[in-house]
Amino acid sequence: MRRVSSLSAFAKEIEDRKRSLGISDDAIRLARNTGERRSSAKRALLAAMRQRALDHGLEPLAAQF
Amino acid sequence: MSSLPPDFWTALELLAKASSNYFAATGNRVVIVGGAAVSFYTQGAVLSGDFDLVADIGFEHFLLAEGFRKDSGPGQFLGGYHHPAIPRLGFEFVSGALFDGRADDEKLLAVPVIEDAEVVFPAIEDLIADRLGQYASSNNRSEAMRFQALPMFSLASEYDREYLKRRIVEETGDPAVIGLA
Repeated sequence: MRRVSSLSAFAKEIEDRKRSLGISDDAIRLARNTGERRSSAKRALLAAMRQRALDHGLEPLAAQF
Repeated sequence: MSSLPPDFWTALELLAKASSNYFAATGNRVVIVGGAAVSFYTQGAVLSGDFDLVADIGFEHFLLAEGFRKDSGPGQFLGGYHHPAIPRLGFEFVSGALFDGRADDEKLLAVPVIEDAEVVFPAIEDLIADRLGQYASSNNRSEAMRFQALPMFSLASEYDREYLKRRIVEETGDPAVIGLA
């Protein structure tokens, strides 16, 4: 099994690479899954997530898949 | 500074505790797949609050012990779980073997989240292959799947090129989509 030795170093390395490659979080978040392959159970789970977020006054997170 | 929101990290900590206790009791590992795994490998460039867990139902006991609750509708269990401390996020079991048994367990990624507790993700090669397989098989070539595979491939610090190509083909994807001849 592969193992991450330092989580903070791992995260920093990816963040640095995102900046150097010009990968924009917002641009990618626009490419959200439209849900064509989601099952009814998955849609129910995602709806429950969204409702809990709203009930707590939080911004719902996108569910890419 | 990670682009992943604080509640995502809290989820990993809670899952690490539950998973480590489960492993200690049973010798079985829990693997976080799907959107949450993509989120981790891209550190939020692709962000999802949906955690799919490859584990048998025996893991439920360990989830509930960490404060997770079953999602319930009118008089019924909806199949998912949540934790009251991180209400935006959802958790669900995925049945069957990891990627239908085609993934190499030696390439799983163990991530220490807190002291003496870790979470496990699939190999980045398997995730990329899974996304490209979904891209290839979707009716209208779901761009979302391709847009998830591309940043994972770009951000991967190291990967097994031959394994990646083999897995993409196994998932009926096309390695050329990410520039692998």
